[in-house]
Parts: sequence; structure tokens; C-alpha cells
Amino acid sequence: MKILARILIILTVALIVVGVTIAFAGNSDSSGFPETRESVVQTGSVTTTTSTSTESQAVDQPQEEFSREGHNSPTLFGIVGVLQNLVIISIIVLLFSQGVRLKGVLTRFGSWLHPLKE
Amino acid sequence: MKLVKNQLNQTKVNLAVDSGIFIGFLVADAPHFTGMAIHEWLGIAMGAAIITHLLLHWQWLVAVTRRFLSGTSWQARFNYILNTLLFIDFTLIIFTGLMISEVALPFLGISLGSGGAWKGLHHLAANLALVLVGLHVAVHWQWIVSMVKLYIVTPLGFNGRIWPPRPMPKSSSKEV
Repeated sequence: MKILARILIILTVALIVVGVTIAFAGNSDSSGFPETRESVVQTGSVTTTTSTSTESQAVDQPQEEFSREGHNSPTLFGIVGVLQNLVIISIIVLLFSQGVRLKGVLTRFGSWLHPLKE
Repeated sequence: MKLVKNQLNQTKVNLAVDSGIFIGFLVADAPHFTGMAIHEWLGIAMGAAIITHLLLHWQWLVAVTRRFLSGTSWQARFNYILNTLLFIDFTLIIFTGLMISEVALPFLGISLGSGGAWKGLHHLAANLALVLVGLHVAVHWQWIVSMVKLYIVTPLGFNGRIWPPRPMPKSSSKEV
């Protein structure tokens, strides 16, 4: 019961974040989303633009996106992306740990200077 | 003794869950490697993983929330703000991912028909997540190193040294 309550709290906070996002996105560009999708469809196949059925548009839309995005199927070369992310995280960890170490050194140096100033 | 044993088990669970989340994040953040289907389903599973992670650290969360404005160190405040940003960012990633879903939601019969700005926000949030996860790992780096040494390196028999391996003890001459 306790765990369920905590999960509900987490989901409530997440819903608040989502609500704020929708509010901001809605205010900034409320008419942009369907136009963008439709423009992608209209620049694609002729059958999509002339078709009046919503189902055919819904089927054609993912295919248009797949052909444009190009990462529908997995590729082994994609592991470069994983390694890239790992390198970026490693660099951040390294910089942070060096920064903390430098802060420690500066703090010790500062405390060493204080007796001389007095 | 039982309390210590429970704490050690809790630490093992934390290490296992955190490692899974980290690896899952690295893989999910590379859709060229996984393909769109695995990318989307893994992203949705990350939501459950993050909820699990928060439940495991609930006591810390409540304690620092109560003491945030008074009676806590700047390190704890920094960590709290970082974790809050991380939570918001992952929520954005998952929400915008659902809005632009091409495999997972259509598989469930849901078609949202959104794109454009949600896609841009999804990419932006994913890039920001990389930085925030990096900082999160950096803040807890000492704990990670200690736990990996304790639960992975030492049980494998390296005992703090990778190379050269510890020489085998010589047998006594009496046995010969």
C-alpha cells in the first residue's frame, strides 16, 4: 500500500511536468503540429494527398517517417552511438572529479594562506 | 547482524538496478543501434526503471525535501536539484517519445498523429539527459567505484589487483 502511494505521488509529479509542457508547447506553437505532419505527407506520395481516408494517411505517415529517419531497422554501426554516449559521460565524470579535486586543493591552499594574512 | 545483512542486500539491489538503468539508457539513446521498435519499448521500460530507482531511494528523497531550505549541505542541495532536473528531463523524453511514437503506440492501437515540435523537444531532452546522467554518475562516482570493487572485482578473485595475478602459495616440503 505504501509503495502504491509512493508510485502515485511520482506519477502525479510526472503528470504535472507533462501538463506544464503541454501548456508551454500549446501556447508557443499550437497550430504547428498537425501542419508539419500533413506537409510531410503532402510532399510524399501522390496517393496520400489525394486520398480522403484517414486510415491510409495514418498508414502512409509512419512509412514516410521511416524512410526519412532511416533508423527503423537496427545496424551494428549504431554501436558507435552507444560508445559516443559513453565517451561523453566519461568526459563529464572526469571533468567533475577533477573539478572537485581542484576545489579541495584550493580550499587547502586558502586555509594555508590565512595564517600569513593574519 | 541481520540489519547489516539487509543493508548489504539493499546495496546489491541498488547496484544492480542502477547498472541496468545506466546500460538501458546508453542503449535506448542510440536508436541507430537498436532500431525504432526496441528504442521505443526500451524507452517506455525506462519509465518503470526510474520509478523503481526513486522508490529505492525514497527515504533520501523525503529527507532532503524536508531539509532543503534549512539544515542541509550544499552538496545535498546540488544533488537534489540535479535529480529534480533529471526527473523532469526523463519525463519529457518519455512523454514526447510517446507523442511521436511510430511503433509502440500504433502496436497498441493508439495513433496520436503528432510530430514536429514534439520531435525537436524529444531530441533536445535526450541530449540534455546525456549531460545530466553524466553529472549524476559523477556525483556518485565514489560509491560506484567502491561497490564495483566490493561486489564485482573482489568476488572474481582479483582482490584489488588486476595484474600480475597473485602467485599460488608454495606447498610445504613435508607433503612431498
